[in-house]
Amino acid sequence: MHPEHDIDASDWTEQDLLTRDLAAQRLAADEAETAAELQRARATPDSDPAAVELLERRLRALEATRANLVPGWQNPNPT
Amino acid sequence: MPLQPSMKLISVDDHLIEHPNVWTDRLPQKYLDQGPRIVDEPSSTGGAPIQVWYYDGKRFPAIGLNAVAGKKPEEFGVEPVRYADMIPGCYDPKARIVDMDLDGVYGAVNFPSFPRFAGGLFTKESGDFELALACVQAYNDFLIDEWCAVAPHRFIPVIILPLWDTDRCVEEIRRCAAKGAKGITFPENTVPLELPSIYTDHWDTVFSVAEETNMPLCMHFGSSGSPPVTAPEAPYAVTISLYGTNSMSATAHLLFSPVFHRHPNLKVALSEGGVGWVPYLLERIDGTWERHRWYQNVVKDIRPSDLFRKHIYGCFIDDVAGLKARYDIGIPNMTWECDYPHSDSYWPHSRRYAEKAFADIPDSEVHQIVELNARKLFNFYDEPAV
Repeated sequence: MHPEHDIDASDWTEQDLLTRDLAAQRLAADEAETAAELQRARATPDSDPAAVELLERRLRALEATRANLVPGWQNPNPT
Repeated sequence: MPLQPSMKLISVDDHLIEHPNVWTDRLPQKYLDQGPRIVDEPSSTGGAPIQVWYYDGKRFPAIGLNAVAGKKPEEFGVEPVRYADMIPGCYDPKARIVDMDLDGVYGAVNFPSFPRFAGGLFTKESGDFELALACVQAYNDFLIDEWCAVAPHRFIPVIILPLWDTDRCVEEIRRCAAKGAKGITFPENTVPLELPSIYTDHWDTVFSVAEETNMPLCMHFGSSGSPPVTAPEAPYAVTISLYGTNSMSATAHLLFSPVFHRHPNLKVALSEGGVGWVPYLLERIDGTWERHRWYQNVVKDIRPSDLFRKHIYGCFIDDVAGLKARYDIGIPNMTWECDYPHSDSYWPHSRRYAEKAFADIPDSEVHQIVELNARKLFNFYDEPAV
């Protein structure tokens, strides 16, 4: 079926989605922040094992999500 | 730490992108050619084919992704043009839950994309209203039976209406309420959609059934299709900066209308417009009401700001001014939003951001804003443990 016509203008829908690349950049930034936080938590005397474990789990989840989203993605702006 | 781990963030304004088979899976055979469907077309730049929606003989060049008034067509290229370009959380509810977990967000209302935020596309772009009704019903069935069913205790179903026919609206609200719907999208102004205004009695049966089924009307800014554009040459930054004025207009429109007087149990959620403007506007509206109500067709014995406190909820992603003014706004009227998957969300650190934003707010107030007010508004509670 051929279209009768294009509509004159799209609806105003404020659509501006996270792209895979932008999502990967954000995940990488969060990974760096979480890794630094984890390092500090581990270095703290009497560190809370539960807090350390939570950070470890978050770091793994961030890395896994990024790997699924953009396999082989390289951060163009490594910190 | 005011945002306690036990507090569950509930976003009252997120978005989903309908996958390509939402309508083709559900429409009767006779409508499959006319109903919304995705078509692959060659890219004008020679890249991978682009995917576009077709509906009722019309071509919609964006798959719910980049239809931003004020953007030049050549700028659309920076947005995804194929589903494969999107993050799966846009269109896959299981992936969405993973992304919400990563973001520290527990529950969410999701607005539609292709049908527009209040389903206005099926009103404005249809030549066959039996087809349009089938499309509205198909979207609502998808939302409740497919999307929200993945995690019913985390997704809040907010339906769209066949706005061109109030009898069909009433039937659809009742049908969806029986299936578990919790809210109803509604344009923040019906007039730009060439529909009767809320000052008439046209919508009374719709608002009555919303009260009867205890579902709020969710008015996403922009759902009337009338953006605050100041000049054809003005950069889109002007429009973005003025988004909140759309919610301000809706608030004045509602508070001087007969709606809340005729429907004392109706609730309205203003979706995505911030809250920092509320104290100023209520002061202005009350002042206008004090001086000018005697010769105008407005209700004379109930102060508009009292109506606001009883009926209207605002929400915000980040709004420093709004948090400072929270006692003037009314904490029970404030909810939180995340706006995933739009790029102005803070994903994947919405919770971290909220911890910082709420750092100086007492725990009990934070709990109301991020979770409890939304649960009450949408009558959305976890199933009791068995």
